[in-house]
Amino acid sequence: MASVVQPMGLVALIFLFLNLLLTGCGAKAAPTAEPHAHGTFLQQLRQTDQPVPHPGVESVLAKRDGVAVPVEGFPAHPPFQTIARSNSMETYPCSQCHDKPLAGMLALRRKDQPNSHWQVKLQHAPDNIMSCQTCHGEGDMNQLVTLTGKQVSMDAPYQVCAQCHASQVNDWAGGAHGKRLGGWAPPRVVQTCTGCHNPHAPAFESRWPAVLGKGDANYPGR
Amino acid sequence: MATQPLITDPVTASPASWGAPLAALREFVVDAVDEATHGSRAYHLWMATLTLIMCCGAYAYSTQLSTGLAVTGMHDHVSWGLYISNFTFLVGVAAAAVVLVLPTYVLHDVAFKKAVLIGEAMAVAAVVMAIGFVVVDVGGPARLWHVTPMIGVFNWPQSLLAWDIVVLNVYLIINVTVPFYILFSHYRNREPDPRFYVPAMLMSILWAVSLHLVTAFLFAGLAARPHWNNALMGPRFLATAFTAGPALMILVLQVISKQTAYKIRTETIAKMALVVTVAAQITVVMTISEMFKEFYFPTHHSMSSQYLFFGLDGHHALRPWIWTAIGIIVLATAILSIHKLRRNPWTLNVACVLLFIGILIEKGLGTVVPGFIPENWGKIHEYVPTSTELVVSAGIWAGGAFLFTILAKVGVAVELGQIRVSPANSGPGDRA
Amino acid sequence: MRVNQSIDDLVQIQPAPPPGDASRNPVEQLLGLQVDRRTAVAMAGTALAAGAGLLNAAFNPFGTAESKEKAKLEWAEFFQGNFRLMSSDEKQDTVRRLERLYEMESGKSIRVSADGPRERVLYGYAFNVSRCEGYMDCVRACVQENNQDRSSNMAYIRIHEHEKGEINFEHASDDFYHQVPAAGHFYIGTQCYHCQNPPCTKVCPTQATWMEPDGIVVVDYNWCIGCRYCMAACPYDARRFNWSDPSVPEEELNPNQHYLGNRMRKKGVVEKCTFCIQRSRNGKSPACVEACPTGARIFGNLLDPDSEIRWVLANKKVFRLKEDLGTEPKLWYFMD
Repeated sequence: MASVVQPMGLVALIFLFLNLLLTGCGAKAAPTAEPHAHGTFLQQLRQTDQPVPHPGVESVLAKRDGVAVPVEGFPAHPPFQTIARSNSMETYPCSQCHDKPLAGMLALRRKDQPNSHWQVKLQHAPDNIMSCQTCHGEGDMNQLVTLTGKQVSMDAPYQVCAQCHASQVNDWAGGAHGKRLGGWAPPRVVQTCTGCHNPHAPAFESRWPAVLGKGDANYPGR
Repeated sequence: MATQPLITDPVTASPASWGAPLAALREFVVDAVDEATHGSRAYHLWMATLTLIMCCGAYAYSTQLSTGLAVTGMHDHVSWGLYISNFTFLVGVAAAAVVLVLPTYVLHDVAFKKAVLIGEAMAVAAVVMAIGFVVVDVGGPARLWHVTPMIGVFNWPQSLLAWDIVVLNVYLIINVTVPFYILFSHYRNREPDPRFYVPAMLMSILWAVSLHLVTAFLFAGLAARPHWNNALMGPRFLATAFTAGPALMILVLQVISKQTAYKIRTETIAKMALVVTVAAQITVVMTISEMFKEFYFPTHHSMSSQYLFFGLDGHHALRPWIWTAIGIIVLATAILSIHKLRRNPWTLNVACVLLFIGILIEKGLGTVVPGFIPENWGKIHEYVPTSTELVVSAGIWAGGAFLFTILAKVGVAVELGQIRVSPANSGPGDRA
Repeated sequence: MRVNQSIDDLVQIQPAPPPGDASRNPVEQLLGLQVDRRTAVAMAGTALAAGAGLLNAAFNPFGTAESKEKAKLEWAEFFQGNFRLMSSDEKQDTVRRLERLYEMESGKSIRVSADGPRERVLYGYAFNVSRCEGYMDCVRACVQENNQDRSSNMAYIRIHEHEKGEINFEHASDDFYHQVPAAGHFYIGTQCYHCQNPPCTKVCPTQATWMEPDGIVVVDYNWCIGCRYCMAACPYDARRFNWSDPSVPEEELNPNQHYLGNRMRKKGVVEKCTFCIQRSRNGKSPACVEACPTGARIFGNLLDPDSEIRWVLANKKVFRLKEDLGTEPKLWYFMD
């Protein structure tokens, strides 16, 4: 048996030696990935936290996205911008019609005429919680109002929404809710609340998926 | 050798130590071609049939080249199919030559001496087929120069495929050069120098084992595929290799014994049958171990086995294949385990045929394909090879058989002394 | 052993060195040798089947000037090296060649960029499971942006419709076609996660796929031999293979391309999501992020502590899929 064992031991040794030799030679060809002892990937990310230089490229807002205005009221977050609304509303300023307080406007209304805002049907919250005046107030119709009667610009609807939807607006300010426009590079511009949600009926309707059925290669053109 | 005269060959002015062997080599090539192109009617019929199948394979491959791999049954979910299955199986057959080499050169068992050249020829044919299956499987065969060390970029030692390329080619070189050296020495009526071929043969033993281990690791290294990501993969590959390879060799050796004057001793066959028996028994034990692990408490990682053995969500294309394979492997192992049946040539041959087929199915459809089913996100997309794939595969198998027949025929002719160098080219130091 | 690329390495991205041997790093010096060898092989390689036809066309006395130019360009393309190892001059030559070849084939001009990574940028992605409604606008935008093969309906993104109550992909549907969101269901998208420890690049025998310094896992479609080992190694079904010649209708072709991104592929090579490298390296978000109507997709620089993606990681309860594999995906999921 000894004569059998010896050559096999030799073979095993050669194998080991070859392995070491070959692995050693090949190491310089390895392109990436070295063993790293600095903990998890996330820990590594945090360790390197330091101000990041400008990436050398800027986000460009598409014309259809609108005009960016600074967001106010979130001191804990780095400055960011959202989309102005007042410049794209068809009948703004509202004072074109609303030249007197709401009660005066209602007094002018004749029974046989339809409501001027007949197309708006409030489907946001139950009647006992919300009416038109909850957001629009009864005074200056060019502005929104908070629950305490403070006036808010039409360009900052998030301040109104935040009264009930605080966690959503907090996520929005941080970046976990809503939609960033332009691109990932600075400056940060995010869609405003009413850019996606119709404030009078915020729920989304269901629709068909964008991709046509399987086997159908007729994707819509660009 | 040391007493060679300086110039013995009047024909060439080159140094004597090169001139005579070169002339002999030329003669050897002529003789070998002559030997390969002449034979009995059965021989010509056999070779013509293989050529026909090879031509069909070449045609099928040309359609695959022009259309793309879309002509195969593979898709993004089962991205390896029949080709890689055959590759995996053939690497095992190639590695099995070690079963003859080890006893001959390490244990100096004379019973294997005559069979060993045949075994090496089979290893060469199997490696060539394995390489052929990789070539037909890749999407860009013209770009294969990218994996050539030094010229391309060789991702070594990271990629197990790079390892496989190394071990396949080195194994091919060893198994071509050493038998060639031995045959050519015999052709020139010399005794080959053991100082050269014995270390090379020891190397080939090492390489045969690493060849199949590396191929197993190629699969076992993929954490993405729980069906393969399994420590038993390597040992199991070796066990099946030492079952299917020698089983095929037992059959082939008997054919050669019957067809030519090159008689293989029954003792050789008996010893190989013993190797097959033990390897088959180990294979069965390993299969039981795997099935126990998969089915005692099935987890998410058992889905592939679930699909393979029992079917999943109404899909069960592989179920009949795997049970057939397991059934015939167990049956053959039982036959071989009974001494009386193993010693009976008829039952031995039946068992060998069964084992070869059983492991061909088990290695391919039972190992490679279910690794992809269900796919990464649990969906079942089955795989059925197309006729193009089958014909290309048949073509490669025919090519391997063609190559093996030529190698074996020339080898046998030299060993029987039917072709020998002419005295003019025999050179100095003739020991015959 | 966990094998990660160190962030420290990522931080110290050097601008691409100017061509010239003196300033080359060892890899590029090695490349210099490889180019020489490759040229030698090119000279000797006339017997190669693919080369022979091209040569024939190149030196055919009856060929037009344009067909000769085309053949020469194709010849040069066949023997070009691995993109990762090219000098910036070689990269420029390579993309100009692609532009010229496309122009000669279709008569239309495209722009192929070879822009490198930006300094101190590592891209990361977050997916809000609560917000995804299964609209599939991302999938359509991805296919259009990245010039994916229309004939095989190739798509990098899969949207899985889960029944509420479990996250089990085996029970989810990825081929739904009905009005969405369906009652009682929620949606999870999967795509390439650009793992920080990618198993796919490790297995590639030719280093035809690798992770760029900005974290994007890319494929050199000209260097890929099509062995599909990376597809077997990917645990997330992120990779796609061109089983036949990919086709995109001329009028739908996106002409703004990147060598490592959405340029036209050939049959027999692997491709994948590149975080729209042709967009992201220019400051834009990937097409899927831009197309998502609900803002469920968030993209940004992981190295910037003020980025949205970092705010999500710090403030939301995030998870990743198959985290037990240690692949360190750079795509996180979270819920409101």
